[in-house]
Parts: sequence; structure tokens; C-alpha cells
Amino acid sequence: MVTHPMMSWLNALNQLMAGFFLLCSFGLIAAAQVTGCMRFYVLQSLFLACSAALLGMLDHSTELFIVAGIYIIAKVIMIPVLLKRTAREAMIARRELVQVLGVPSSLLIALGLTLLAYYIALPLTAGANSGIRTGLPIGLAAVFIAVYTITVRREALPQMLSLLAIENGAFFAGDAIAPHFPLIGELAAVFDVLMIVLVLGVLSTQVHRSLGNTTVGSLAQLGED
Amino acid sequence: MWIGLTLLLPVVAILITALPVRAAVAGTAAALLAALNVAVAVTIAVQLAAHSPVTLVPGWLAIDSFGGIVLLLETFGALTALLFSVGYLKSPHISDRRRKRYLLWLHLFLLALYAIPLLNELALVWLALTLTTLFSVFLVSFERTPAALEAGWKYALLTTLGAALALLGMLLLYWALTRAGGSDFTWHGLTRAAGKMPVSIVSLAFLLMLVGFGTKAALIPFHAWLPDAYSQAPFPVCAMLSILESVAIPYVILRLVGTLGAVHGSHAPQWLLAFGLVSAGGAALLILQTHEYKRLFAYSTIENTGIILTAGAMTSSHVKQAALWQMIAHGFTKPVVFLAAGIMFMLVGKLRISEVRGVLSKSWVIGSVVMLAGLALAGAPPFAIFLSELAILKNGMMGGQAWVVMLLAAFMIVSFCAITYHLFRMVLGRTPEDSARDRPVIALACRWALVLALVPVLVLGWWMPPFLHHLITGGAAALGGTSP
Repeated sequence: MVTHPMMSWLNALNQLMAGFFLLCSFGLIAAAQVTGCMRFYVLQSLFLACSAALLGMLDHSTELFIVAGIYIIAKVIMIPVLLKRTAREAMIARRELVQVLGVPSSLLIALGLTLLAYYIALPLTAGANSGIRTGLPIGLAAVFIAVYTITVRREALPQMLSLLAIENGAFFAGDAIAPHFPLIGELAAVFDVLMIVLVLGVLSTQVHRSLGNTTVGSLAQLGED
Repeated sequence: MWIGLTLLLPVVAILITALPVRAAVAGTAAALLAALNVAVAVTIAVQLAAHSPVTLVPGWLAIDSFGGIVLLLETFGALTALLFSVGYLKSPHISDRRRKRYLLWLHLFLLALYAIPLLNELALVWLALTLTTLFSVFLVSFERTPAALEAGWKYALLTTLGAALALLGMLLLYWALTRAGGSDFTWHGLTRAAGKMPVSIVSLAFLLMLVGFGTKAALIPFHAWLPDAYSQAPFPVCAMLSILESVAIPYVILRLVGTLGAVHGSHAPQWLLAFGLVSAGGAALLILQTHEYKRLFAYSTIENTGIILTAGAMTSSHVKQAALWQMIAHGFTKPVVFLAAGIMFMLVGKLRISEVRGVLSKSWVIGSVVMLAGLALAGAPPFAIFLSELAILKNGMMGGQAWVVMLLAAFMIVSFCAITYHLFRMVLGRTPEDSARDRPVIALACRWALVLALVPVLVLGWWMPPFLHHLITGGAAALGGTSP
């Protein structure tokens, strides 16, 4: 049984993790190179796993401990390995990434999105525990910021990593609001993430080979004329 | 037992493709297995007409009348698309390795597609839906040209983005479920707990799922990926994507609304009505201004999805039945249209509508089949879509939602005029002077696929098998609604 001072200490630690988690979302916007984007993603997944373990202690949920382990194996270890295998060429091309909007204005927009997430989430969390009051708005904010990042990034791999960050955000909220979510659901999501990395990684390599770069946003061949 | 077979047959097809046999052999075997699967789906449908649901593993694998309709359309579409693919892959510029890869991805896609109506656990339904995207990415970009790769990337990125948003919605829905004291995250469990779920959470969850799945179904305004994906994908792949968007995804969305509509104040049906109307109307206008016939038919898929969703969201249970009828009519018609367009493309070698003239004078068989398929799609009598659209309008009027009916009728008329206008220009008219192309050899498999796909289109306008009728009445019950 977790004692009361222990509880408040765990809650404080969880809030710290949430802060770091959100900072990684900002990092994904600001990173100037593909490897930087990936480091921020892996770091974010690590904080996600820590938060899941902490919530597991708070909510007495064995599932969440297993989930934390799954996150570590799949997101922190397997995804970087898979990406380096499938999209090696695009990964090692060390050059500045192109963004539609400059980093400072993007960070400002991300800040606005965070406020929006709090505005949407707070009415829902009335009467809920501290884990939910932290997790839901931060998770939503991470989702919004990642959706925004996809739209401003112009290259394949950063777009894909932002896509995976959306899933991280969803599960950051999910672990807090649904600590007993069926394990099969978590497994489904992790399987999905790995498939995304495989398929989009291979596809980005094909794009890279056929065009010499992965600036998918500048491909303007298609479109309704 | 039969349910298990539905999922087992694609697995067998995958294994055969993985064996060191020639692609032609693997393709023929796959077509035979697909034919077997249609027989299985018909058997399940007949069973469902007598007794619904059919269960294999309680709480995990079971199918009811609505699912039976979906499975029937999926398996039949898959059979014709596979048969056509066998002919399409004969093209000498495709290596044997790439042929097998195409078949492998197609089987994986079909496995995920069949799983959608069979699975009961919502998280797994979500997974199956997401996998349909990921497995079809390489089918869309199969031609490997820069344009095809770009289309594949756009398709994968945007639809996976939708899936991620739907995931968040799903987690919120589970939260609402636990707040109502439930823990059984299946369609059945949700229906039981619906009355006690907190409205604010359910509304947000539903909106996220609607936007998420709507992106996969290319509902307007989330359709940015669709014109590119369809213009680059091989024709049989277009046919299967259409089945996914106008049958499988509306199934999930309508199910969701049927379940969550019971949550008082969630406004789920109203949201769906708005999305459906915008899609039907927007697509009708897009059909009007398009320049490529592949995109024309792609937009018509959005339009029909919009009509199905709108009708499914209306209150009267008779309109809901008509919505399912529309789903069946369109689900059988669309493969014919894409396969006929595929054969027309083999004949003329052009995709732009303005460059295709006088198909009838080049080949009266292909010309008349394209004409027939196009008219059936546009909603001309005596084909099934005409009847189902009429049923939606009539029952909607009697259900007292006149303004929705008026709008729908206007959109149907616009798209009818637009499709027939483009169609007549392509099929009739004078052959351009410079079109001294040799008559291409059209593979036997492609011709048979088209003939096979034509059968239900020609039959359903005149006669509907009794079991199908039972499925529609049973299926509409899953959508809720009031009887007038």
C-alpha cells in the first residue's frame, strides 16, 4: 500500500515527467536535424514510460507496469534500430531541415496550442484525481503540437516522427485516464507504431532514392489542376 | 466455424504467395481462394438471415446482420479485384518479384479488411482499420514513379494521422466507459453502458473518432490525399480502396453512432449528418470540375459515402435501411466502374477526360460496358443505386427531415449530371485523328473479372435475394432509430 506522503511525492514526480514530456514536443519542432528529431522522440518515449510506471504505482495497475516495459522495448529500443535499418540514407544525410515557418513563431504557436489543450481538458477533469488532471491536458497538448509539427515539417522522416509523437501524446493521456485499458489495446497500438516505422521508413527510402532528397512537401507534381 | 474460414483463407493465400512458385500460379490460387471466400460470406449471410449474430469466440469474434452485409461486399469486391490483378500483373514491365510483392500486400490488406466486421473489441477494430492503410501504401505507390511515391506518402501520412486521432478518441471513450461502471470494450459492452456515460467526454471522443476515421474515409474536408492516391494506384487497388472507404469505414462510424447516439445530449447523429452532407455536396461539386476519370470515380466514392452516412444519421429506421441498401448498391457497382475504367485505360492509354473520345467507336464492347457501369454509378434507372437513392429520399421525406432530403436530392442531381456529362464525352464523340494506336491485347482474367463484377449490378436493380433483404432489416436495427 502506498502511503499518503509517498503518494504526493509520486504525483509530484509524475508532474515533472509530464513537464519533460511536453518539452520534448517543443524539441521536435525546434530540432534542426533528423537525428535531433529522433533523439527528442526517444527521450519523449522514455518519459512516457516513466510516467506509465509512476501511474501504475499510483493507480495500483499492474497493466501499466507492463505497458511501461512495452514502451521501453518498442519505442526506446526497437524504433531507432528499425529506422536506422530502413531509412539509413535519409537518416545520415546531415543537413538543416526545411520548415515552412521559422522556429520562434512555431514555438509561440505551440504555446498557444498548449493553452487550448488546457481549455478543452479542464472541464472534463472536474473531480478527477491528480494523475488525470496532469495527464489529460499535457497529452492533448502533445497531440496538438505534433499535428502542427507535421504540417510545418517538409521532410519525410521528421513528419513520420511527429506522427509517432501524436501516438505518444494519446497514450500519455490514455495511461492517466484509463489505467486499466485492455492490454490488447496497448499491444495493438505498439504493433501499429512498429508497422508505421517499417512501412514509412521503407517508403521514405524509396522517395529518397527516386528524388535524391526527402523533401516531400516540395513535390508539386500532383494536385487538382 | 465459417467466420474462422473467412480469416483463414487470406492467410493460406499469403502462405502460397510466400512459397517459391511463379506469381501467375500464386495469383490464380489466390483468385480461387477468393471465390471460396465469397461462398463462405454468402453462407454466413444466409445463416445471419435466419439467426443473428453468428459467434465464433464470444466477445471477440462474432458477426451480426450489418457485419454480414459488409463482409459480403468486401469478399465479392476482393474476388473481382484479385482476378483483374492477375491480368494486370501480366504486363511485361513488372518483374516476377514485384508481382509477388503486390499479391502479398493485397492479401495482407484483405485480411485486415475482413477482420473489421468480425472483430468485436474496439481496440482491435481500430488496429484492423489502421493496418488496411499501412498494407495498402505499397499498392498505391506500386508504379514506383516519383508521382506514385508522393501519392503513397501523402496517403500513408494523412490516414495514419487520422488513425492516431481516432486512437485518442478511443482512449477517451474507454474512460467514459469506466466512468459508467463498464469495462467490456466491445460494441455490446458500449451499448450496455451508453446510458450512463458522461456526455462531455463522449462528445469529445466521438468527434475525435469521426475526424480520425473520416480522414481515412476521405470525408470532405479531410480528403487531401484521395485524388493523388487514386490517380496513381492501379485500377484494382482503386476498387478495393473504394470498398474500404464506402463500406468498411462507414460500417465502423455508423456502428459508433448507433451506440453513442443513445448517450443523451452527445449530438452524435447531428455531427454525422453535417459531415455526411458536406461530403456529399462537396464531392458532387468536385465531380463537376475534375479532369481525370480516375479522380471522377474517386470523388463519386466520397459522394456515396456522404450519402450513406447522412442517411444512416437520419432518425427514421426506414431511412437507415435505405442507407444500407445504398451501401450494397454502391459496393457492388464501384468495382465494376473501376475495372471497366481499367480496361478502357488499356484501350486508350490516357487518363485525362479531355483526351479520351469515341471509346464506343474504337471498341463497342468496352464502350458499352463503360457506359453501363457509369450510368449505374450515376444513379440511372433501372440500376440498384437509382432505387436506393429513391428509397432514401422517399423515406427521408416521410420521416419528416425535409430539408436534409432536399439537399441530398440536389447533390444527387448535380453528380448525376456531372457523371453522365463526362461519361458521354468519353464514350461517344469523334475519335481524335492521331489515335492510330494498335489494339491492345486485354488479358482474359481482366475480361472475366469485369463480366463477374457486372452480374450483381445487372441483377440487383430487378431482384434482391431474400437473405439480403433480411440482412438489411436486421442490420438497420443495429443503427437505432425510430419507426414512423
